[in-house]
Amino acid sequence: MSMARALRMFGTIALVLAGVILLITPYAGNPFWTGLMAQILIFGLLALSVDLLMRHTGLFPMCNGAFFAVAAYTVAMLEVNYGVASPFAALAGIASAGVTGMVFGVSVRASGVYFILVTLALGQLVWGVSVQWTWLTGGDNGITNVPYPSLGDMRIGSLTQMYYFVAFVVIFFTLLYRQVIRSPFGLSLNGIRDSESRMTALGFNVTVRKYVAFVISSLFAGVAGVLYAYTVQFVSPAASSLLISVEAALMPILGGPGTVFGAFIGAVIIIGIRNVVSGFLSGWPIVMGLVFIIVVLFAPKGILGIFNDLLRRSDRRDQAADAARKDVREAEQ
Amino acid sequence: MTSTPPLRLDNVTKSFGGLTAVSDVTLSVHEGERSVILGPNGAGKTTLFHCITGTLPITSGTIQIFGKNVNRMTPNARTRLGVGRTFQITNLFAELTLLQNVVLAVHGRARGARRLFTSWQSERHVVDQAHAELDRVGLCGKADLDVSELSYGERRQLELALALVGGPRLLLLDEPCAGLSQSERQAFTGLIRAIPSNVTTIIVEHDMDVAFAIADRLIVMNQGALICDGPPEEVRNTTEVQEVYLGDA
Repeated sequence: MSMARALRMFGTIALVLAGVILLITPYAGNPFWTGLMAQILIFGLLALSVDLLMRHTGLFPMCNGAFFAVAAYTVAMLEVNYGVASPFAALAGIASAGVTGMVFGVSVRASGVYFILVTLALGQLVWGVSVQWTWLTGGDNGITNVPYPSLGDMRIGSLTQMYYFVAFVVIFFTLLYRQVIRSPFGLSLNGIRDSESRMTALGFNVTVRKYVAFVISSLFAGVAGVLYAYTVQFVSPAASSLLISVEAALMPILGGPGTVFGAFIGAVIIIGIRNVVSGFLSGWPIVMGLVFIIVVLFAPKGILGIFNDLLRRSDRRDQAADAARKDVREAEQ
Repeated sequence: MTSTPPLRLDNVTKSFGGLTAVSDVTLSVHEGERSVILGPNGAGKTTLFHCITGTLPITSGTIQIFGKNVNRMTPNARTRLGVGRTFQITNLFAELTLLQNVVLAVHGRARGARRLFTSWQSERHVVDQAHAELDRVGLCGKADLDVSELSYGERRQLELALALVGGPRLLLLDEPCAGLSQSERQAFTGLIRAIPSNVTTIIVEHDMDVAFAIADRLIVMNQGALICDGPPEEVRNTTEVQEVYLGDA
């Protein structure tokens, strides 16, 4: 069996295994794992929202955690304080993230490091509000007892049901994301990443496109924020901390920037280290730092990138071998 | 009735602080003309080029493209008037395939690429047009390669293909043959000559052989000013030109 076939088989097995784990996690009998898997899915979606800007458009945002938090707080406030029906609360959550994105979108006028700094500052604004405006956000106590979502008499009654709901929504939005990336608009974002001046010379309005990408990114982050509020049932300033934005950027970098699966692989690693390694090692951030340094230095295309490179190389080797065999056969004739 | 010139400059000046890079240039090109702006390094020809494309704002004067004052127009708005351009330093979408590069050019011209929910490959008319444009510059069969896999000469060809997409009426080429070998230059001037004659072309060049091979009209610049303007043979015989440029060549 050739190396390429072995790699393909490995990839297929890994994919099937991931699918099986996704399906049966709630039956592992430990709510800890179910909650953890749900968080991996939610943060994977948040990571995708960052990757849309980071890898596909060439902008490095530091405020997607803010969109995530705005959506989560909106849902929590509407559900707990006003008893708004879940579909409306959820839509309001996504919309509030989108509106925040439309306002913060002015940052696309800055480029490079300045874009990072502006989005960092804007993101911290949301964090400041979540900590200081106690009357609105509950301050450090946050907003507790967010119910599971319901639709009329249908109510999600358990973590297991919630988990499947999260899985369904995340898969749906991941497919939608994949479609956006492959669309003509998505291709134009790649063009902006590679050369803004050329895009301008071709007649594109680069600033408008970056702005639209930014707002789309904020909507995806908002979906993740809504799911977070309903799953964790508690929203505090931890949701708006800079760490969320940073981790959401690290996930695609670790897993494989520009790929849908990469964001989720990164989410498995980071959420895993944060929740599992921290159980027996108080110095778990050191582990996180080491993993990050090793991946960035030795696998700049992320873990999925190692796999893809290996596959490409063995495919080429196979092709070369085939060509050589053909030459020998022809020479013999 | 005389048609409006594709490009008309009136007293265009561009200064950077105390340095005047382009000084009081007045110039009008006719439809279908292939003009070459020639001049030694630092003559201001690339600066003038940037002023025309809109990447640099001018200090004073007016620029008209197809009769429209474009002084306040952004580069992308000028593109939509029918202006195509290449870059002196190859400026391509490095991580995309050749086909994707040209597809983007097709979209840019058509003000397209607004759809979110179809894949770009499914828009057959765009993809077919992109293939045709690649054929035109001799890059058919390489559509699915990444730009990084191309030779330098091939990159210049793709650069030209991007500028030609959608049939620009005014084409601006910034040192299209820079960095090419002698044989590549010859092939490339062939491509430039094959550009349809209704496309008004302005080429910035400092290589004389290339300039004489393609020009209907030679415009010579020195120290920011136009010093000579006319058919190539006439320009060649002007003493002033021979002194600043041709003399030491």
